[in-house]
Amino acid sequence: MKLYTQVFLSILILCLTFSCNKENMLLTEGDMLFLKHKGASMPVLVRGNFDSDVIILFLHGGAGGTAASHIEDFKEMVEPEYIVAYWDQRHAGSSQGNFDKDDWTIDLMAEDMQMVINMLKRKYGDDKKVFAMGHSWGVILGTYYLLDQENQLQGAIFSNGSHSSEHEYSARLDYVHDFAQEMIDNGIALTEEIKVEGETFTSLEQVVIWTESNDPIDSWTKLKILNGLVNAVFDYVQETYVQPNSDVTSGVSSSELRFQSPYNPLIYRINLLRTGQLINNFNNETSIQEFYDFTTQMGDINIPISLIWGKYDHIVGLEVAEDYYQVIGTPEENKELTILENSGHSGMYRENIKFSQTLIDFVEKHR
Amino acid sequence: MLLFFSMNSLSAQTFELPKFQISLSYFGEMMTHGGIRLGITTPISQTIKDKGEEAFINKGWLVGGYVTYYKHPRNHKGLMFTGAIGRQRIGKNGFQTSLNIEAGYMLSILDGEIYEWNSSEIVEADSRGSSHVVFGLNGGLGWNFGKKTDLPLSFMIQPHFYFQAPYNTIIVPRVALETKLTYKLK
Repeated sequence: MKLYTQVFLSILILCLTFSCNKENMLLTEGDMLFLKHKGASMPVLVRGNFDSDVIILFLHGGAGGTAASHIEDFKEMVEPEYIVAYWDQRHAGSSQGNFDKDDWTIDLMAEDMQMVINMLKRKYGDDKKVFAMGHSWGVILGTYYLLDQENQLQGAIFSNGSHSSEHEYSARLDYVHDFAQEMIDNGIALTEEIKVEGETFTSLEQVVIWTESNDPIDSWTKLKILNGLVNAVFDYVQETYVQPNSDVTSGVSSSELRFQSPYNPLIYRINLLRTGQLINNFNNETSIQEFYDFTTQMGDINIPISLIWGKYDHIVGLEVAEDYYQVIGTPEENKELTILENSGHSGMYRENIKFSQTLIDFVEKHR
Repeated sequence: MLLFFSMNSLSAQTFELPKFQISLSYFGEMMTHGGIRLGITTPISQTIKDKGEEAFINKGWLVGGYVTYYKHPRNHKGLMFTGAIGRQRIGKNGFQTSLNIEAGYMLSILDGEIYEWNSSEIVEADSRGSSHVVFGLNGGLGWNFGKKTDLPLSFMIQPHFYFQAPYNTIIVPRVALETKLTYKLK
């Protein structure tokens, strides 16, 4: 290769390298706070309307998810109204630090949540009213916080998470049974056989029979089979009932999140994998979110609660929301259940406008 | 610049790996979390294979020391002191490859406002950082301009794959891309 070509290519590569390093709004807007607590260094990206006296604290799913992917869910409608704090929980998302895995319990995570609220009040003022916004696992964590810690929340918005494994699996069993039967009635067959836990399912009729003869789900083996059978109906439900596109019109691109944001996709994946191994492990039959039940204590919860639920959730069905609504001690006038008719597990993304407006109306009523 | 290169475009007849080379690099953790890296290397052994007509292939083992700083905005700043040992090959036309193992110390400093519980209340904390061990592999491709000219420079693109420990109950892998200019000391 000619020397000039070599030099030209070298300079071109240098220019391309530097041109990759640009900034965007995730790096410039709002504040980046870190809570150091018992070995973990947890990032809390705080964005939105800093003139507001309301802070929405987002509790992401997982366990082991990230708040980063939900920025686009709140950016358009909620951030202009309130301060929104996107907290990456211990060993999740872009959380850093190091701690003993044996210390990692839901009690510690509820304590982390209390510290995050303390930090937000310290930074933005004691008079700020904090509402938790929990999704999926974040509902378990938020509910546990309300039962375990001295409450500092003004209210909570919970979406497609659970308080009782019995209700969660019962709803999932119904989801598989009802839609498998509906597919049979519509002349739709199983597209490929399902093998799980040594059992083989070659038809939807077999799926229906299994669900009818294995109620309730009370063992790990049954739970693993049930989770496998969700695949028999999931695509049908998504295509038939769930709106294909999101209402979000100005999202955050995945390349922005990966390369020009406070987040690191590689670390997120490793954190997720490791969280799956340590505290959410189906294979080892150890998980802090399986076979639990807060029902008997939930009469003590009396803060305003809004439940906003995707109707066609294959993980945490509507039955869970209906039971949650019934068992909390919150007075009737301070609790509400809103159904997102065209959504599955992530209603805040699918029906973003309805979700956001419901959230805003609830906060305005109870702030 | 091209004039400068053309003036130096002389055939180097007895090319050897220099006793010391210093390097200055752009170091991008995840490619876009930019930083700078300074290094010095020296060969511990080298062979020169004569291919005839003034064409030589150089192969050698090199050891080096590096200081690396990068910043992942709103995440952390990394400062690394590392040592490396690796194999380098320079072809007869100046095409250069290398493969190195590297290990050392890393100081990781959170990039944001830090708070902690001091047993009675939440307070702002300092950002003194946390200590880690880093170890990994990197390899490079590029050109050694000194092979065909008197210009004492080489250019390499060098992907890094390394681990940081301890991190969140175990270790964490990281990737980086280094764009390196090396200067041959006399």
